Amino acid sequence: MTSLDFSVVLQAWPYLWSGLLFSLALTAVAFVVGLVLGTCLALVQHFEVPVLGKLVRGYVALMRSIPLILVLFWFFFLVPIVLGHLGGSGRPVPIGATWTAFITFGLFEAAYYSEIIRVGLRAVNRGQFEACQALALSTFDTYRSVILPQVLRVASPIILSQTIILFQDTSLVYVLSLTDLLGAASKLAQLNGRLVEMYLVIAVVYLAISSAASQCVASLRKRYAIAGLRR
Amino acid sequence: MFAVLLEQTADGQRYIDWLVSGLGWTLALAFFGWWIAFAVGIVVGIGRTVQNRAVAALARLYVEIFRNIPVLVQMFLWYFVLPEILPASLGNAIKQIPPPWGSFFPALVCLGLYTAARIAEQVRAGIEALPKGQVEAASALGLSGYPTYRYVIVPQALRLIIPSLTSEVMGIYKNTSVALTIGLMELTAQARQISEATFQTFTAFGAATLVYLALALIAYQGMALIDRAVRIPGTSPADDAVKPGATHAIQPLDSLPDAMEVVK
Amino acid sequence: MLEFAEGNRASIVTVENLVKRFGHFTALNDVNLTVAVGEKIVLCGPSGSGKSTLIRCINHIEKHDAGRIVVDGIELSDRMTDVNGIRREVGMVFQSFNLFPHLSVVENCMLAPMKVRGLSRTDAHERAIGLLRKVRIHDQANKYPGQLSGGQQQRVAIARALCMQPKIMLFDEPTSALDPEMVKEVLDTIVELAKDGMTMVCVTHEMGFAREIADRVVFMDRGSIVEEADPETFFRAPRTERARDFLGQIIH
Repeated sequence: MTSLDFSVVLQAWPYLWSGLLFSLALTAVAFVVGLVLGTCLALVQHFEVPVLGKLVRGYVALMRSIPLILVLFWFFFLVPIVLGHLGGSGRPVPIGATWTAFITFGLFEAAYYSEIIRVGLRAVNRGQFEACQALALSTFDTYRSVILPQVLRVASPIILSQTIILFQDTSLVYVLSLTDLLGAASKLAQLNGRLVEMYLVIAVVYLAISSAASQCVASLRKRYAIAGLRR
Repeated sequence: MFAVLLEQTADGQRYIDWLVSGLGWTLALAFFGWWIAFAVGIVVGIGRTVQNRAVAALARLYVEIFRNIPVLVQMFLWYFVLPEILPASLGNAIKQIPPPWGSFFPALVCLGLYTAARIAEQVRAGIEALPKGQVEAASALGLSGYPTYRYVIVPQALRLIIPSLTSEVMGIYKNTSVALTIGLMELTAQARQISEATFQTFTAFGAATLVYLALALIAYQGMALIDRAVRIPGTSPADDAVKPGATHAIQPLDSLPDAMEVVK
Repeated sequence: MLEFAEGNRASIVTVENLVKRFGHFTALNDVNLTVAVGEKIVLCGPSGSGKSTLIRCINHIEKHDAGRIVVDGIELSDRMTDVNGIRREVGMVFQSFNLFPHLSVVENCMLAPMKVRGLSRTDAHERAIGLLRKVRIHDQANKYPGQLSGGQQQRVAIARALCMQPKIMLFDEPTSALDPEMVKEVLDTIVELAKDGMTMVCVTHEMGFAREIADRVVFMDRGSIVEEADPETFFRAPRTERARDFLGQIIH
């Protein structure tokens, strides 16, 4: 067994740190975009909007059935073309891997968040809807002030669990040669040849962050079990 | 549109043969990976629920490690790092294994152990969902630990978690695509290859997408069949399953996480 | 706009030949009922008699299949464009309270006045506190439903409905989901409301309470109104055999 030299990790730390920031930024943006879009997708399905509802269901089923790597390849190929059409020029707009990654993850996660929220909507007690009806609340106010707040609160542990998975999935931007945490480690490993140290360290970093986040989610779940949110 | 797939490639085959070869690797990886995952997952899942503190802690550690490191990173660890940290002779022997097997086996171990961690959590959830009376009745009959698990707990728990295991099956064949990063020419890798060779990107990726969709459908139907086959007479699916979605108050969402955490 | 019926008291609710089906099951079969302003009606009967279904039709939470319902001069129908116009004037209290768990007690009461009647936050708050005081729960104003007992929650639900200043209150078995020791506090609240002159239709099994407040007792069985009388007559000398059987089972 060759001797391990972790000093290279210390030297490389600034580069790894910028990679980590990229991973976190990607996670954050995909979380916000995904959650907002996902809520809209869930509502469209929930209200059984004609045509659009079926399209959304198809989209969600598609995103959940094919590998994320394939989705990344698809978007890398398609987004420039779509943008070209939208921009009116008809010619593909070369937007580069970074933008592709942000758009892809946002749209991809939206499908997963929409499932969580859609199931949450179905799980809401009918009595809540009836109380809103009896109080003459409009549909908009019913969902905005009563239903969605409850769904989001109760589903928050699951949404956060999904976000932890999202964070881990950002490592897949490796296939687009982007410099997230894994990408940074990989590029450095090629330069200094110390891939054992590099990969072990980032494995630990991912482990630490995901594990800590999971603990938060677990305690969040316990809090909702006690707080008497039922009834 | 898909006609290009029937054209000749540089090495005398047709592009569609590349796809079929890729599919073969995907299926092999998913199939054998699943059995490893299932076996290890059940053991670890049970381990999480036993009284013995040491065993439970070990199982917990396993799950924490293998669930919290991304699949891709784990794959790199198995492929790049393992041969380096093993004793030189063993490490070199591993590095000598010719491709594609040199990529296949690390990918297999990686996917198997990763999915096992996720299955372990489902199994744990299933076991914990059983009414306490089951164990009490078994004890009252004089059954000790192992027979209780083998004949009473595990058969029921497994039936409960079939819906959530479905998402793990879907997950494992989707995760096979990650093996392309260590050189395994599975389905997605072949699709990329074809698109680079023919510039027919839409066709290449479209074909792969259709295949994955077909696999999803097959997996889903297969699990539904198994669910029907093992159903206990006198129960309906809605009664028992630790299923995603509930119809009463909001709290059953607690049981969602394992099913909803679908892998990419 | 108010239809005038017997004794020249205006009717606020008129139900004519009402039919309601759930699949093959007929829950309401040719029901006729009139509620005059200020009248307090108690609906009673065995389970499955259709009493809850009837009052849920009055604020259109259940849509009727045939017949006519007129509330506050407006006819309820499938094609109506402004069902909320009716629901503003009809208050409902549910068996399972249906308070909004993520809002505090006072926020529960403020929501509809603000969003539906357009009250400002200050006015809504003032009204809410006033009505919470009336049901004697204003000291819990900032607590959340999950922190209250069943009886307290139901009183909040009553206040919440009252905050919309409805013309008629519907009670759907308001005490059936409560532990026995909390039934009295809720019934007392409703009695006070009755004494203040609120028009109400109340589905209940509490016969002592019915005797106290009802102007009229309506007994239903298997989807039809079987007997209607003032409380004294109904409880002392029910005319129909089914009513007699029912009372015999309840009052023992």
